[in-house]
Amino acid sequence: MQPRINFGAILRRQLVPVAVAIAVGLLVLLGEFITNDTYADLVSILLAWGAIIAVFALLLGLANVLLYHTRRIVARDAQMPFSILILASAVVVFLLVLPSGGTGDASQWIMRYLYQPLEASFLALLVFFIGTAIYRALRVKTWEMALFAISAIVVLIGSVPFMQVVSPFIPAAREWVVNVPALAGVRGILLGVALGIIATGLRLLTGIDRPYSE
Amino acid sequence: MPILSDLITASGIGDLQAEMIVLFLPFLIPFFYLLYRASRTTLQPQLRPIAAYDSLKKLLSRAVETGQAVHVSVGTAGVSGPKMADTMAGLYTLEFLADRAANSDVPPLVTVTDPTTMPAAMDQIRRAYERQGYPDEFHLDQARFIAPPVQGSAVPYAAGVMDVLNHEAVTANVMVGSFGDEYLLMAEPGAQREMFQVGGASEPSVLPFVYLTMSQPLLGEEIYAAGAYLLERVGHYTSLITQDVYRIALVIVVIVVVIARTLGLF
Repeated sequence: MQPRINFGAILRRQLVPVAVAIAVGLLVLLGEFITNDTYADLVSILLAWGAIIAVFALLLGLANVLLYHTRRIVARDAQMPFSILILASAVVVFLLVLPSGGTGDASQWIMRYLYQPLEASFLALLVFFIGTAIYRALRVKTWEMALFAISAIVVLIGSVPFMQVVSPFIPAAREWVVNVPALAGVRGILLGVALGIIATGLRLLTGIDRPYSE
Repeated sequence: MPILSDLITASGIGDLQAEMIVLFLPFLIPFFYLLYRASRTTLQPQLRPIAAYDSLKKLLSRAVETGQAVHVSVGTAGVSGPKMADTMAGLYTLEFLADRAANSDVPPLVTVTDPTTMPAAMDQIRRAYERQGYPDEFHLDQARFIAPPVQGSAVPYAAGVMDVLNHEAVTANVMVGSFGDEYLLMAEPGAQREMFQVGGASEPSVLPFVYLTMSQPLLGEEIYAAGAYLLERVGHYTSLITQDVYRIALVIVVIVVVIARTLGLF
């Protein structure tokens, strides 16, 4: 016996999402080409709806964090103290920010005196990581890595201001590396990236790719 | 052509928009022609080998052997905005890995930072289990939300990923998508531990980090070929061939213009 085709499910899970995605995608894309006030208002409404959906996605993310760390605490995982710290921080920040909102004094204070110093300290690690990465590159004996390391050293040394006094050749070499081979490479990469973005957008707009439906 | 110019002005299409249309429309011709051809024949083009995609195909056997998960990051951007294509490349990679992992006992460990990417990543894993006939094996925490971007910075997410790579049972690290400077923060601990890493990004300033830290790097536009190489879908093949056709045409135009200007023709 042939299995029955569930047209309702196909409509609900395939056709409707695809039709909505293609229609909204085309409307927003056309907004980039048409400079009409009424049309711009319509596009703004669609983008605002998108922002509202993004907020619900953020709530889903928050629920995911709470669920994961609560499970770790219940299971008495070795990392349990950090999970307690994360959940406690979330609750404290929520309670402090709630009365004055996201742009209030409490929020600004937390950003300025807690978050930003932490972020700056963390980003400072990049210096050491760049050092270890370049050291590792020097140990790999391929001509690509040799070229990479030589270019990096020329640009680094050539950027030091007093090099102009020591030898004008090194800053000139740095200028040449940055403005000729590096710029040519970047332009080539950007050209390929632009084509890749167009191709991906086109697949989504035409419904060939449907990451939003079954 | 004053009449054409007046018509364009009356339609509300500005000069910049007209240039965009002129550049965009030629892309459609080979794309739809190849799609039409593909619907009538079996399109199986010979793709140049990309070592990173070849290694991804063998990655799950490494995970099964060690019993440890593969960490997957689909980038720091969302599923809308200018970096959407990069996120999609990450999601195609995740789809491939999730499909393979659904048949094993080692699910991928997926971390995300953008809230809009979270449901998309979850859906890729859920559908992979459904396709392989194990819908009950899907759990909501298989995609883990680390932290949202703060004022455009993904540093909190990078800190979370560093912790995952340093303290959890992870055998390999896959990072494909849109990344900024935080890429090095996430990839370097893995490189120091000599973990097998496959990753790629499209941002030129991040590519040196990709090249230095990844066992198998994907540079620039290579990430957009994920669908064609890993999922082997007709739509991805046609768009990849179209990209090549358009690129060759652009290179010819650039060479002709350079020669013409060198000769002082305009």
